[in-house]
Amino acid sequence: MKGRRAGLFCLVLLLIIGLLTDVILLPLVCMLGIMALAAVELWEWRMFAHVEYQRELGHTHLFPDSTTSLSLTLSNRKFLPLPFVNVHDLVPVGIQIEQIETQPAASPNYRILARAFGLSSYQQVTRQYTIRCPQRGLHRFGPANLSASDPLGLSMSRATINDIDRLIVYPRLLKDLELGMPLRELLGTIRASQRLLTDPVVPIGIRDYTQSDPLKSIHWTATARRGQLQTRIYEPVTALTVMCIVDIETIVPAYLGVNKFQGERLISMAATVCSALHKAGHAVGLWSNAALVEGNTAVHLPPSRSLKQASAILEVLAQMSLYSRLEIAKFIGREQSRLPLGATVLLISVVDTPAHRSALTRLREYGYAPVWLYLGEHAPKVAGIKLIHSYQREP
Amino acid sequence: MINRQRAKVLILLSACIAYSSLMSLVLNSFDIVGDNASAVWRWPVFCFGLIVMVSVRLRLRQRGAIIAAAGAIGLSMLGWLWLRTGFSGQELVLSGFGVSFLMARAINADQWNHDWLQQLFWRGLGLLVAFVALGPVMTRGALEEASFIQLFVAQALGFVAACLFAMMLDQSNQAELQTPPMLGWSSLFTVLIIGIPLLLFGLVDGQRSLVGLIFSTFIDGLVLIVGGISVGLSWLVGWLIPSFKPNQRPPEQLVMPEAVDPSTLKPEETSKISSLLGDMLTISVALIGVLMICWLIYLVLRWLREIETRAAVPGEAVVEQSIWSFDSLREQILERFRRKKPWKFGADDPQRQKVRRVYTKFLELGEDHGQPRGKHQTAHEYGRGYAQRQPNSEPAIDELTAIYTQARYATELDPAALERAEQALKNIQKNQP
Repeated sequence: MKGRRAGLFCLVLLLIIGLLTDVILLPLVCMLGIMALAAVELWEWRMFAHVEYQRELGHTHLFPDSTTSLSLTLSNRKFLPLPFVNVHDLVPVGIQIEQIETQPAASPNYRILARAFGLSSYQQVTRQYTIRCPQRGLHRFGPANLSASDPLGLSMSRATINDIDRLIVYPRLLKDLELGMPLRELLGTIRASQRLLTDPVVPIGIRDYTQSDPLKSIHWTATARRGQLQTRIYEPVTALTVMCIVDIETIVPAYLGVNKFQGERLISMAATVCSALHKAGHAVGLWSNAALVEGNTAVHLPPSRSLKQASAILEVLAQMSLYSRLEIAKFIGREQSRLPLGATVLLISVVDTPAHRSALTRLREYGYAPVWLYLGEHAPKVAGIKLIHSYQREP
Repeated sequence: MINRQRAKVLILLSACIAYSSLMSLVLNSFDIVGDNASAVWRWPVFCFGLIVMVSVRLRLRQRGAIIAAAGAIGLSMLGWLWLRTGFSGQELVLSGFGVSFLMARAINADQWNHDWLQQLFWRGLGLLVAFVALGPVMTRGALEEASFIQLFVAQALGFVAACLFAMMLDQSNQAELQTPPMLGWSSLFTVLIIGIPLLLFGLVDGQRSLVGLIFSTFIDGLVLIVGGISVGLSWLVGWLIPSFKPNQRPPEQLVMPEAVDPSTLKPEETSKISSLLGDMLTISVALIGVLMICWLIYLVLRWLREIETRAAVPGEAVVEQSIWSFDSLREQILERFRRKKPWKFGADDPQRQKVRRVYTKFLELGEDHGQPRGKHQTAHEYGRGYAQRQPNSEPAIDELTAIYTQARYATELDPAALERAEQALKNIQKNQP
């Protein structure tokens, strides 16, 4: 910039000399250079004034393999046009932009979407793309680097737009074949035996009368048929409280790394089971020893039956990394006091260690109903614990 | 479609013409040519270099450039040795060297980038300025003939103009650009940059039509190139067929007819019919000329329109819309005005007022460099964001923000706050990319 300004000064000086003396054509040549330099200075001065860049996603939450739109909008709210603006926007590697090639970025988790814009005065240009999201995760778009130049390309100005957009791609919900077992079996297995409140509208059977039964529940027709008092059994109205605990460790010990296939299957299984339980009307919570992609907080969603609970669980599962913060046995031991009384504890894990078994046994001793959904290769046997085994070999 | 390669050809052609003009000027100034027809032999070599340069430029890189340059220099030297007795071969050698140099620079694809183009432009402009300013002094009056200087300057100006156009085209054809955006507008801008000085000079100078001069010199150069090709071909034929003697025809002596003074003609000697026919012919020619110019303008406009409305890349939808409104303009002016109202606060304390003005300048600086302060941002939040973008300026930004916060909220202000704030702002401006 300094050299350019020095050149501008020299040219102005020569222009004055040329005008004062009789040197032919010198003013003309000087004027040519002065105009080019002045134009460069003007553009450099006002290049990114009143320039706005926006990135907009069609959806913020998606299921895998869904598509949505990505819009890049650049607007120029001033009279000075911007003939050449190169936008280098970072897009996550887990996102595919259909029919558009991206360039490698410095970070392996990102690619560069390089686009060029030309904006005249008070113009807005929007470029729209269709993106496909094959991978679960929290995908971050941005920041974007803008570089603009004057029409001759003599100067280059740069700006960084630090806005970040997030796209959450939920885990894949497994089908029966992928589950390796009927989902109904799982739901039937963990159904509670206690029925504190019942629905008098929906009788599901009869049994012998006991003295504690109210008279209104006596089934008189059945009593007449059998010759002794019979009482109606009603549908329980209190749904289960299920606390789903996801052990993210896929290889023991954890420092040996992760098995990505089994880890993703584990998360998909958790998502499928939690969705099904929530759909069945149960209160579902989620705990995990996994580290989240953003933030260093533990995954600790208390059980709830609300409509938002399913999406909250899926969001958390989407943001989980495959790395654990703590061993699951220690995690359960630390958080056990927060478990709701009488809840069914569903542990989903790929690995089987003595610590897992002792933690489950301890839970049973405290009065909870533990169920172990084991996704490893060889099913363990633990006395008094309901075990469901589902294994899929890595392709 | 103009692309990067054609931009290169354009710039090389211009460079060759400017170079040949320089050679002519230098040789004529030392009176080497005289009556000798050595220029006839200069053009075959020149054209050989040009053809080689254009034809092999796309295929050869470093090694090819060296080989081609060495070949051209060797050929020039051979030609000089062969022609030494009968012709002046220095010109030939100089031409060979010059073309070889250009060729070596141009063929090497690694060196062809926008920076090199910029250097070429600025150095060409600098040389032109130096020559125009110092040429008459350095040559000690050897260049008395104004036509030589005009010819050279016009061709050099054409070279600079071609550089500007080439830069513009190169800029619009970067590899990462999917479309040549604003090509029409940029072309207009480039024409204005070249045209306005010429127009102003024409207005001041009154008589000369420099645009026409530049055009004619370019045409002359092209005519010479074509003539050189034909001479080269005839030389080749003469070499293959010894009986053929190329360029043996002596130059024709032009005989100018004696001028007739129109005042000596009597009115009755001119026919009214012939006068009318002459007028009609003139009008017809003028009409045809205007129609041709209109047609050319239409073709150029259509070409630019086709380029700019070219189908977008598959998978990409482009929506362009105007966001012009008087409301937005008014809002911008008011926003600018709002930024400049620190006198409303602390009007009783000029020191605070000045500090806030310095901070306002800092905000304007950020706004001009794509970092406007949002209405939701505190001074420290804005400062942090700015410092992330310019890590070198972080201490200065922190200091300026702290001084501003003190001036805005504290009960007492440091006496040296204004000086420190101004120094911090200078540091930020210095580190601005």
